[in-house]
Amino acid sequence: MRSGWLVFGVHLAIFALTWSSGAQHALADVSWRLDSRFRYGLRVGEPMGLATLQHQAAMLSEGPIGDSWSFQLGARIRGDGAYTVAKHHFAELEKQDPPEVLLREANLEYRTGDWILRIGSQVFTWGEAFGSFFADVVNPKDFREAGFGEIRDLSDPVEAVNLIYAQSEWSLQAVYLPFYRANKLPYPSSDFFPLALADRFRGMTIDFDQSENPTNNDGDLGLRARVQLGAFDVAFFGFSQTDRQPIFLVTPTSLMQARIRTKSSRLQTYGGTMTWAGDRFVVRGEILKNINRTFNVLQNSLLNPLGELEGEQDIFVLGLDWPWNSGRLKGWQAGVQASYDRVSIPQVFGRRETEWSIGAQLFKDPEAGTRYKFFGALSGADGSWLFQASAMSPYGRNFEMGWETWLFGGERDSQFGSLKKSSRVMWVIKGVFSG
Amino acid sequence: MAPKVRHRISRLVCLLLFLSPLAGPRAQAAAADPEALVRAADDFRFPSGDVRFRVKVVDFKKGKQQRESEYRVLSDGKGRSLVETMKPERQKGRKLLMVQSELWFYSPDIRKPVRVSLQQKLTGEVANGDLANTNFAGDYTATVSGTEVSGGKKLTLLKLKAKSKSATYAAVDYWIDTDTGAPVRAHFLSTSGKIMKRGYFEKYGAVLGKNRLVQMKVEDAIEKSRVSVLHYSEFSREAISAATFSKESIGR
Repeated sequence: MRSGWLVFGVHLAIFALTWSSGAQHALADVSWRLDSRFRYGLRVGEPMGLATLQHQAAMLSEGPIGDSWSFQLGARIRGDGAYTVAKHHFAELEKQDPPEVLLREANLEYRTGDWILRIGSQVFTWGEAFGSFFADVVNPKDFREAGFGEIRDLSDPVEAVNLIYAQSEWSLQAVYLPFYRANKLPYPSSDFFPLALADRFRGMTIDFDQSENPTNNDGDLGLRARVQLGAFDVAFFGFSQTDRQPIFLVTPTSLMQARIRTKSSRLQTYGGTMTWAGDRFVVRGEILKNINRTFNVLQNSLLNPLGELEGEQDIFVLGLDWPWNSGRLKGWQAGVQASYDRVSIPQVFGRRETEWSIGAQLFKDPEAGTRYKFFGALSGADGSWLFQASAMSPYGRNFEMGWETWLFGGERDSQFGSLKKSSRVMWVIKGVFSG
Repeated sequence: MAPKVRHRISRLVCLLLFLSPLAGPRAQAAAADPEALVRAADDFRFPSGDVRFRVKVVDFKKGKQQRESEYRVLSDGKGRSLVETMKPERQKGRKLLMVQSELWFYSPDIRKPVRVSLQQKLTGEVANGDLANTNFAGDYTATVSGTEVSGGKKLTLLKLKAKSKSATYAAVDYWIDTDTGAPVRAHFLSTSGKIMKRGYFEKYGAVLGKNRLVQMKVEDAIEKSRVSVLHYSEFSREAISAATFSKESIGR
């Protein structure tokens, strides 16, 4: 309740400053951008049928307020008609994941010299890898589509005090987040609910409660330093946080019913990122260590198959990408990336002790013409795979239309195979309006 | 006067007479430090120091207009610049941050700065480096290669060679007006010495108290029918903090 009022207060302050008479003159420089998107998707795996009928509109406005202040204000509305049209398939999803109106970015920035202070709801981008968020530790993620949507939609802005001292070649940053915000997880009747978890509770009625349930939430504190050394750009950070990814607490209410609640515990994350850029290609790397992270572990109990245990997690990511600037592939960019993720405890639920994967992407994003994107990943630990492809062609100044496909394969309890129910082909229309 | 002395004086007079047409700027161009000539030419292209301006780029193919784009550029004139796409609408908000040889790309689609290779300076119909590079003197060493007359103008040809990889092109053949010092045309060369693009500094106008470049034409050397015309406008001089050219600021 307290956090709700504070968030409301920050938003109100931004609106007041934005529309104050003194600010009206400066608002000539305010820019806005409205992104709209419609997706009509069909499942290509079993059971076949309507996968999505999603509408989304996201608005972001930003601009200066006087000489030292600026604001950023963003909102998003989203709803999926498929939950209503195909009720037989999505069951309670219409109620669990109703159309949403979200106030997203809402922050004020104050600059003096090389100091930057941002207060309010914002997004932090600490990671350097593509298609993964290992080092983007600050913001909670929207995993309702298992993290395979558009990147900008996946990080949920969080209320924070963000102090930066920046030179062009180096920077220091301190962040404090007073409130806990968890990742958004797919509901049991969603196509993206992991099959491995669904199998555990087959035939049971599940009451899934995602209300935030942190333990020892004293606020999150992070420090980060970045420096450019020749062609290297290196950053180190530490982040004391309440885990964005909750574990599941299962409470059997009867033989055929279970209540699943989420729970989040404290952990410390230490990490580093680096990029190296040459004439033709860029190398990216991330290294992370999570200390005292709580995981769900499998236990021999028919009534409650999930226990919890603390352990450590080590993550390494190394990637390489390069553009073609001549020849037949002119305009295309390619990338490969390998990741290694190990936890120190056995029998962790929903994953193997050691997981590694190799991913590759190929895309073309020309100033004019069709945009193409292909992304594939293979899990070395269990042989599961995913493949994403899209082609979007411009129509007029404001629209583009095309298709997108997400395919997942492998065993039901594997990293990507547990998502194979959500394999789909989508027809997509996007609109961009700005001023 | 002794004949020998008379002879010496007449030789000196002859020499002075021969040099007299060069006594103006041409003589200065021939004698001046080539680096100074580049610096002077830079000042015709862009005001020095912290500067903000807009560039409208109109692309033509076979004389037919293909598309129009617009960029907002912030530059400190010391190798740091930020280029933001304003048009077309689909790409509005894309930014390219250049800090010497390091490049970061930001797109509203991903809302994350992404490190990109140096080659990205050369992407686009008009190279990103062309939009942001306000300072040849900082990026290239210069030598005077010769003089020529073209279109009734006396031109000095400067050979520019990249000081480091941060320069957009490996070399530039740069013709400046010998009388005024203003750039007239340029050939932008690859590392192999091949001409990649030809640039024509077409129009000059009053910008921040001086006659400066307001229109430039860039022609693809291989596909000559591909031409881009750059229109520079809305110049303003204001202090830009170092933080503006940081990765941490690119998303604002």
